[in-house]
Amino acid sequence: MRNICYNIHDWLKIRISSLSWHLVEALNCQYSYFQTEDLFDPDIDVQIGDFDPDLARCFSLDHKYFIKKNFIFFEDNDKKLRWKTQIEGLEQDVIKIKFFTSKRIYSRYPWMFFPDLIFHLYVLQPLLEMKLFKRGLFVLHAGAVHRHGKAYLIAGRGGAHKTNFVLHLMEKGYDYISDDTVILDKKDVFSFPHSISLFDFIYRYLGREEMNLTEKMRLFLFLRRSPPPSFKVIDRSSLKSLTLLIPTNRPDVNIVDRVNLEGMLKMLVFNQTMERTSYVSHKTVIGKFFDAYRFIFPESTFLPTREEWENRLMRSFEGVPFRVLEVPVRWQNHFTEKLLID
Amino acid sequence: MEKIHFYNFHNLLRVQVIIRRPHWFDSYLENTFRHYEVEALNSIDLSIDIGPFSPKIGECAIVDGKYFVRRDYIYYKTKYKIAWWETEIRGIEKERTDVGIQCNPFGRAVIPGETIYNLIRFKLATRGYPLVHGSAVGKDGGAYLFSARGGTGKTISTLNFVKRGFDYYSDDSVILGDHEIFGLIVPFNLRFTYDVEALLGVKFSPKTKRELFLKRLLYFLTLGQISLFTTLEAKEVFAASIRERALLKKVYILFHGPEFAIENDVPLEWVVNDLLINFQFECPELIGLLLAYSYCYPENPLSHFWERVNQQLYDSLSGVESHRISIPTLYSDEVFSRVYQEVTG
Repeated sequence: MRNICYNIHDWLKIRISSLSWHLVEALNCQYSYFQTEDLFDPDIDVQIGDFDPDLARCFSLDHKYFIKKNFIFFEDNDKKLRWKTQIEGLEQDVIKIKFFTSKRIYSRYPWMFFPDLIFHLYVLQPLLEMKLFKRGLFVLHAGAVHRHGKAYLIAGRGGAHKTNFVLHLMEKGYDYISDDTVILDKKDVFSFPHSISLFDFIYRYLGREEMNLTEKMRLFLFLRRSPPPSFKVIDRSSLKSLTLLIPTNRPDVNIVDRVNLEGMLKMLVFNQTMERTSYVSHKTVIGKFFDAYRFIFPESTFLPTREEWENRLMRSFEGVPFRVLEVPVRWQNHFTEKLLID
Repeated sequence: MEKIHFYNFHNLLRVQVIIRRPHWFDSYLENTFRHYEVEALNSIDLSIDIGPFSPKIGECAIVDGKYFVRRDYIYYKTKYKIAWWETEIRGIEKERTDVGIQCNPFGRAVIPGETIYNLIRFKLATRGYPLVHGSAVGKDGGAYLFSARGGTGKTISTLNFVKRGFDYYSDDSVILGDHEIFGLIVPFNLRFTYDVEALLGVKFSPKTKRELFLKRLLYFLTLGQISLFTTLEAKEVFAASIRERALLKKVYILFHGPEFAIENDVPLEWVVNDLLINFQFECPELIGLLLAYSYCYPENPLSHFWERVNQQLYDSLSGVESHRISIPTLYSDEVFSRVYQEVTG
């Protein structure tokens, strides 16, 4: 049995145990930044390997989600990769997860190399966001850079050049906080670098987000080695400004001034919600098991409503200068000039 | 060559469907809303144009590389197994919405249940009439609404109720008005798990019988691997029991559970919560396109779409008796008789 533990800024501890160890490695590529030696009292305890679900006296939905109080079991598939998972203690302090994917089908990228990343995307991430929200925080889908003790956030959907902006700003002497996700605690920004190795690879060798096939092969070898990051990661900083990016097929950068603070917060909320539907195939929604659970137990209140989301964000962004930018799909370095508000 | 169909849904929504370059796959499309077909319409709320078009996607924001969004305009492409279709929606914020759809032949079989249904849901909801996923039967002008996920037993309960002399409003989707319901009658989807002829005492036409026999044979020969669906006109199945609208008497939420159990007089919030989740589970495509549009134009009223639906459900159900029933996975006659007792009780 191999264990690996992550400590997310002392708010949350995750322990992952598995018999097969290259599988833990795959997940480690996502969370390596938070790895710690402390193995005790995890808030989320994950066991990867085959298991028999405890389906006695369950409610069920769509013949797929099996639910009882604090318990969900479901089987799902994405791009022909099938998996099953069981979540216990949903509304309690400690969540126990069992997860198993049976077949590896080596034909579909990206699950080809790391089929267990499915676990991160479909199971762990929604639970993590929920847990951290309960602790008064907000997991925001945004990149961030740091200078003179202040954090500059860059939010946007995938393909909005968040990573490119972060790369380019690092060249200009800004420090790295995260390229994809941050955690907000009122006006404080904490780093939450998903796949820091992936970003490191881009930073070291490419200097841009787009990759061709040979570069992808090199990336694969690089991830197997997964060396420590070649740059400094700022753990914590205080919020200075936010830039929201929308990719367009217009030729140049354009400042959108019709959006007010409420509108901007809504955009952040929609951004967050879309994150649950974008990577996956037609008819799939990540975190749908939460809704299934709420269908059976409508009295449960552990999931935040959209209003609570907006209030939590309001607490962070009230009085913070922001800017909404339309950027062309094709990246050019001079875009950064209009990006930051000082 | 083109065909034009006009549909009038209870005077709540008027739809025009133009089919260019007709194809034999269209029969499914043409049958779906046949119950509401009319000769002509004076005003149109939703116009759907099926045929090739070239999307005008200049100056658009691109969300997730899929949705092309501009004020009052969305274009996106969807794939489902071997079917693909492209949708262009013009006037999404306006009273009249114009939609262009182009697709491959398989797409023509999929779009009625996906995009077109979703557009109807969307237009009905913006006009204040949410389309609830559920069946409805009734007696003496009062209706009972059963909302459940697919496969829970909506259809089989409906058949059983109709057999006992109840009126039929719908077995899949119900339009919710102010304390009243309107059926949305689409062709009846026949499965082999129950014998409709024996259950309702209706006689199918020889052609239908022949078709059913062959499909059932195929079903048994392939050990249930190939299950071709058969749709019948609702008229053929429910005949004289069909009614259009009624006052809403009671709402039931059904779901699978370990045993038969009923929660009486549940809070309105719970029922609305369940109806909304059920609604959203039915239309991921609509959720996606509304998100993309609201993301680009957060200040416009469509960004409150789901809050408004929630409020509409709340308003139209306030004061209506509501219950939640957990029923066993195996829907036996005994289960139905318990449900029947609860309803008539």
